[in-house]
Amino acid sequence: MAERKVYTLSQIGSAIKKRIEEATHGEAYWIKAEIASIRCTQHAYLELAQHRDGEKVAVMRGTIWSSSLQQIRHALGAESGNILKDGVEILFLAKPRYHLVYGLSLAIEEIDLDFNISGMERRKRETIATLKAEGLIHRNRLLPLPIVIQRIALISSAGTAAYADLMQHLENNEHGYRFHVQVFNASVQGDAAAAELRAAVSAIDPPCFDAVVIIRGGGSKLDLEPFNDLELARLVATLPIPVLTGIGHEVDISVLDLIANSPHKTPTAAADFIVDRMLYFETGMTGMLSEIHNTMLAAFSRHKETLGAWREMATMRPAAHCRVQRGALHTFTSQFTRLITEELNGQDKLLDGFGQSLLVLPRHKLAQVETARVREMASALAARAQLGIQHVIGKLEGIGNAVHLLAPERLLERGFSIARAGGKAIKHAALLKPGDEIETTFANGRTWSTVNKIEADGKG
Amino acid sequence: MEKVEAKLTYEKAYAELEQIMQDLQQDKISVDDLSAKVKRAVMLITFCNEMLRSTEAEVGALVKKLGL
Repeated sequence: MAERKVYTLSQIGSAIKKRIEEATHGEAYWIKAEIASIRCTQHAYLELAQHRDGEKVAVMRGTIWSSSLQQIRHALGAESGNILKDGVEILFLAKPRYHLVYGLSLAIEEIDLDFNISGMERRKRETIATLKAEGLIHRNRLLPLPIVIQRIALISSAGTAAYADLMQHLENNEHGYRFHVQVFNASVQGDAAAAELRAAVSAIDPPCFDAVVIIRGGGSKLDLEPFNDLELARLVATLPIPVLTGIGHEVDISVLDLIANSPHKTPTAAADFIVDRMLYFETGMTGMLSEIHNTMLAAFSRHKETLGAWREMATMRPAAHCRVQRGALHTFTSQFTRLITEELNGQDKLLDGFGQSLLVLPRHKLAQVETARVREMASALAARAQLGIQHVIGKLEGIGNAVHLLAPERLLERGFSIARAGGKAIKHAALLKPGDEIETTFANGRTWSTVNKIEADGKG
Repeated sequence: MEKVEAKLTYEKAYAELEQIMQDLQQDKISVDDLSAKVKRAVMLITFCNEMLRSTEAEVGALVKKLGL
């Protein structure tokens, strides 16, 4: 037996390592593989695999050293969790390394994010194409969306910020609208998400709700993956009630958004849409009521106007008619009067002429007789007046004589005298007393004497 | 709430209001019916208003009635 050459393990290991390094010249290769499992400590250790027709055809270990891991995580950003996980196929840049203790592994230096995203996009496109082919893509969108969405089947992960936001916006709306929300819990991220979402949709009893609302908070691009699930999309598309989405994302649209009746960018936006719609409904109603009221008032006032016009016609017309009749009557009367007067005047003139011609002769004779009588009367009156005057003159003469006889001179001549005392005629003896001097006037002289005795006879 | 027909919905109420308004505008409603129509309109709105703002208790009863 020839002497066997025996190598130590490290010799073999070193030889393999050397061969590998010679073959690769320290170059890195772009490799496509599925992460069968990943374990992260300071470094990341991966089990990489390749399947073909469900059969595992290649397996290799991969390592991401801490320095590379930091860079990769930074580059993947929000998606690192979606990529550095079991079951994800990745495209990575790696150097085959052989370690004497740990064996062969691929030292991963870089992971191509676009590979995953484009993979997701491709699957999404495929899903959309399938839905189109099945006639489901527009089905939910064609359902009429109720004006008032009040009974809501909410598919959400209870306790998340998205859920809290939506409920807050619905329940604390400034208009006091009430919503009847029933929550169908489902995780919206992770591997179980699609299945849980499907279960939630299936659990909804459509007649009990006005709409289904599916929400999720913000997330990365690849977080949308569950919402692109074909089976979920089929279930949602065939729901007989409208679906609203509020699957928080910036620019991407999930398959669910595409088929939803009313897609919104965030849960808050979905809630506001529902509240605004209610407000729109209520405002419309209130507006209509006031319009109905106004139209009614207008109709009433129109009827009132017509009634007023009729009333006026009913009262004014007869009055006007009466006025017209009265006027006509008046005209008639005055015409009649004028006619009668004219007629009478005519008759009068006729009569006058007739009468005059009748009276011409007798009147002439009568005048002669009357004149003679008047003359007679006048001369009789004149004679009587003459007599009267003479009688008056005689009487006046008698009166003149009497006046003459009564004059004091005549009385004195007839033997009477006048006694005076102190120049005054004494008419009463009692006015004198013995010793008084009296002047006595006679017809042809005066005497002065003194009173001796008085004898008043009380007369006068 | 005033007794309203069991199957009155927001949509039906809205449609009925629109009809009333249209009829009014086209002078299809006689003066005799005017106040009745307006009363109906007010009732519809009151109904909707109250439905929009129904209390939790009512909701509870409703959900119960639905057998949920």
